[in-house]
Amino acid sequence: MKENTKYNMHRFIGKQIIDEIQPWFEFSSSLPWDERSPPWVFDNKVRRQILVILSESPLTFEEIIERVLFKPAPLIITKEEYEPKIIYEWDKRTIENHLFNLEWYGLVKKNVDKYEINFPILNKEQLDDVENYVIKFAENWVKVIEESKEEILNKYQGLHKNTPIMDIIIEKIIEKLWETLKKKGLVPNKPNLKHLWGEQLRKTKFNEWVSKNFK
Amino acid sequence: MREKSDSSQILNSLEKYNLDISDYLPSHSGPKLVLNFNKITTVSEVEGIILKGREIENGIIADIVIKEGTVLEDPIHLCFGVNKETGLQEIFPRIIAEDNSSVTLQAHCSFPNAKNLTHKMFGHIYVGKNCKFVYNETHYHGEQNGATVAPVSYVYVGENSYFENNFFLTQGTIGRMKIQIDIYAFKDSIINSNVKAFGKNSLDSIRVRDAVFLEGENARSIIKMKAAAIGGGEVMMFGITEGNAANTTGHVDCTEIVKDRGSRCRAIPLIRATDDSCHITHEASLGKVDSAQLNALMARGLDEDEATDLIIKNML
Repeated sequence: MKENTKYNMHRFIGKQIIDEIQPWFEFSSSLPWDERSPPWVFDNKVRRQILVILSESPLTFEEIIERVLFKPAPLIITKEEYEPKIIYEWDKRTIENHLFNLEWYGLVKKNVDKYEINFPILNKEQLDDVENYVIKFAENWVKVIEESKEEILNKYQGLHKNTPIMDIIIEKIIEKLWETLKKKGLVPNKPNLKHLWGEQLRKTKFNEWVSKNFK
Repeated sequence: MREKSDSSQILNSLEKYNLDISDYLPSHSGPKLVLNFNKITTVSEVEGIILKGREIENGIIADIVIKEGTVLEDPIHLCFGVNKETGLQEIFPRIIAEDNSSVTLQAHCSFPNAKNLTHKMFGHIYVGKNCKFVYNETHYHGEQNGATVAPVSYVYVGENSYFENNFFLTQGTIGRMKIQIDIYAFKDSIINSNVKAFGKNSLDSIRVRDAVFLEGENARSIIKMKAAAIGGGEVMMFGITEGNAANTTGHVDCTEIVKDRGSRCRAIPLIRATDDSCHITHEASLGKVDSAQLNALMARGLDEDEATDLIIKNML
């Protein structure tokens, strides 16, 4: 596991698909109280790192063990001044436990002798590409909001003075959007359509970031 | 001249914790890295230690390497002091303690005049095999609730090593504080993490996440979190211990005292076991002070408030 990012290089968003609303929901948030979003398994950096390395390519158990070990290096002390010596390695049983956990949550699956991730992690290039569509949709929303903002604000000025009416409307639009898309068959007609996915936040390694920005 | 008096003011706040400031004065020969806001004022190495700092726009990056076999009696002193009332300080320390070393690191974060001051830290501590590493962090944020403090630390503790974390924020007012420390413990290592914090009024908010991940066989840990919220203060202690390796043992202990209407304490002990041979436990108690202790002190002539204050002072 390489400790080389400014903060974490990836983040994980969303949650697994859950069933119809049941009594075990926490009604203040409409979310299940027994599962966090994203799931608690992400608390552990080793498990996060396993998912990140598996997103690059499927790996065997032995390859995973090899890839999670890491050798920490200083940030500004040069190689001439100091050669890193410490290596952190994980034993087989611990990595097995982490993989059991990830498999149980459906985050990885074993295909013959290789493990692979079971949900998407978008890299920077893919995210930049997706951004074009995000901007296109957002611009259309902005156009509609600009046209209706004055009318809405006039209509609801009698509400509590701090009511963020536009924010509330945008949140309701998202709910309505899912509902309409399901009705029109543009997305699967399943409840709680919120998938787990990950995104690469930055590509620059922390060490490189330090030397580039703080000469 | 001005700088000297600034440093003295920062150092004097150590005395609030009954620490001997002679160990930390600029004239002391021990290893140290001293900051005055975002300027490095002192870098002092001793044999076996490489210490290097670099100033950045709003803070510093620092490397500390403790070479193999180095045993230091004097603590390594890191002083992150800010005398200004406002500003931003960002610290990126990376500490590497090689195998068979034994050191104490005293980090001292003093913001005596803080009114709108933010201190952020993103630190890494790497401890090798057969080491003893004690990390003490004491904070003093002045009396005006004006600090926002958000340190994040990742710690890796190698085989057969002992790591002790002592985080104290019990003097002065706190302001807003959000601390995260994640410790990864390898084979046969021992982790002892102690956090003490005191919220004194409605402007004080303390949120601490102290997590230990037992990643190596026979690793053991104890997290002790003690806090008090009075006068409308808020405290949230989030203690996590996760046993992922064979024969690991961990315990989370959380004690919080709440006094005065409007004060709030929360404890979230979260323990997990993913190996069938580990043993992880937790214990938490929140609320008013223990009535037996209170009665004993009141029987000796103290009124209820005085007795409660004494019990809190003693706990912290």
